[in-house]
Amino acid sequence: MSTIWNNIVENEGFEIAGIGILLVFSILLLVSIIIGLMPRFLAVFSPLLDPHAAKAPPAAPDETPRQRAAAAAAALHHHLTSSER
Amino acid sequence: MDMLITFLQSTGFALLTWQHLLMILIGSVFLFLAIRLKYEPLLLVPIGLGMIIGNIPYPDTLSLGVDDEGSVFYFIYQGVKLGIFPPLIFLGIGAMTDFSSMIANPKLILLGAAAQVGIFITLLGGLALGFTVNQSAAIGIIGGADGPTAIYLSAILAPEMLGPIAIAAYSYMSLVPFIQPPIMHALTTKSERKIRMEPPRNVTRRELIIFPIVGLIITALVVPATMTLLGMLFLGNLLKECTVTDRLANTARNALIDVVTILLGFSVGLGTLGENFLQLSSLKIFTLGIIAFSIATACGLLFARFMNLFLKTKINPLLGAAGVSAVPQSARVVQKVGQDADPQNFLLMHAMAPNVAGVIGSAVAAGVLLSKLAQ
Repeated sequence: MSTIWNNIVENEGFEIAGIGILLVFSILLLVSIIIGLMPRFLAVFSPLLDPHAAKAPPAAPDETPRQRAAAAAAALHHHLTSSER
Repeated sequence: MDMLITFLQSTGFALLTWQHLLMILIGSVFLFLAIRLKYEPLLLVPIGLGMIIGNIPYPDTLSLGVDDEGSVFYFIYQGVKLGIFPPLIFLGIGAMTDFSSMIANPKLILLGAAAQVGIFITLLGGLALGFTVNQSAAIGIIGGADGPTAIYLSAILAPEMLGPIAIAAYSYMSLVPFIQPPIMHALTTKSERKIRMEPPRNVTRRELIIFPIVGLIITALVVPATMTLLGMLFLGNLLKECTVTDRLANTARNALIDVVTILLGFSVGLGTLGENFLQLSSLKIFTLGIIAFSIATACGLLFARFMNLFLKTKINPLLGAAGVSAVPQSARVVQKVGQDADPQNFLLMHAMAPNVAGVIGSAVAAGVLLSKLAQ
């Protein structure tokens, strides 16, 4: 039993295993954090990466359900009044 | 008459030993499994025939084998010995791999890290069984479930054990559907196996292009020894994702990987010489290999459960088993075991995230071991 233990300790087995596990986790954690942040970075840098998109007119803000209902009602009203004529 | 006797004494029959015969028999079993049962034929056919050729004895006056400088097989074997074939396989894997599921859900990358714990625990097991630290590291990498990485690392750290380690790594990779499910059932509850994953977000083309570049820079700067394997993996992936090199990506994922798979498998078979392979140490390597593989699977599952203690939206812990980098076998096993618990649960796409993270993780683990142990 002591030979097994000595072989592990003398060859720095615990240090290699401990540091190895720590390094693998650290690197993949770093990769995961950077991937997680990538959409934000891209949103910030997108005007530089795609100048045409930056010059394009701003897209219309999202409509609220109330606005959508109003637009549908107006279209229906227009359709009904024009067909009555 | 003397000439006839001399000729007969120089035939393979006259030089055959029981080790040659047994290895030829094992090679034939590999061919049977591959051709008759269609069991990993792309690997087992070249390995099996390589084993038979590598164990046909010949007189010393001829230069035919992998150790005879100048022979054809010597030059083919250099692709394994010098670590050339595994990075080329990684190039092809990169050109085939879709990292979008991993980019969409980056927390699953940690499962790919957790499954690499098996490599380092098995390293301790190797030392406990009396192997040197380099040999133990080469055996431990079997737990990464990544054949090319196992061959690459053992060719550098323990070339004398390359044959058994390569055979063990590829055997256990093909045995994933049998090794993993009992461990998955033992370490998860049925309600956990039923957990459904949220659909992943859409990943933009720009993210897919930037990932291999950023991934390479980070991993190679922290552990430069990973550069060979991961450099080729990310090169292949960039060829695929940048959309302007479709021709190169097609070659990498079809013709090139096929050529290298033939040569790699054949070389591994050639290198399994009876007198080196049929040792007690090979039996120990196979035992440690399956322990490594099982620990890797268990660590992935347990880490997924550990993550669930902190996550608002729970992940299905079965995904942890896909952290071993046997792509795509372990992801398919996750899908199957998940559907046994809930037939409407589709985990394959989600399991690909830890699965491809496992490829990166095992290459990083190999790089860490190389940094510490390579002379």
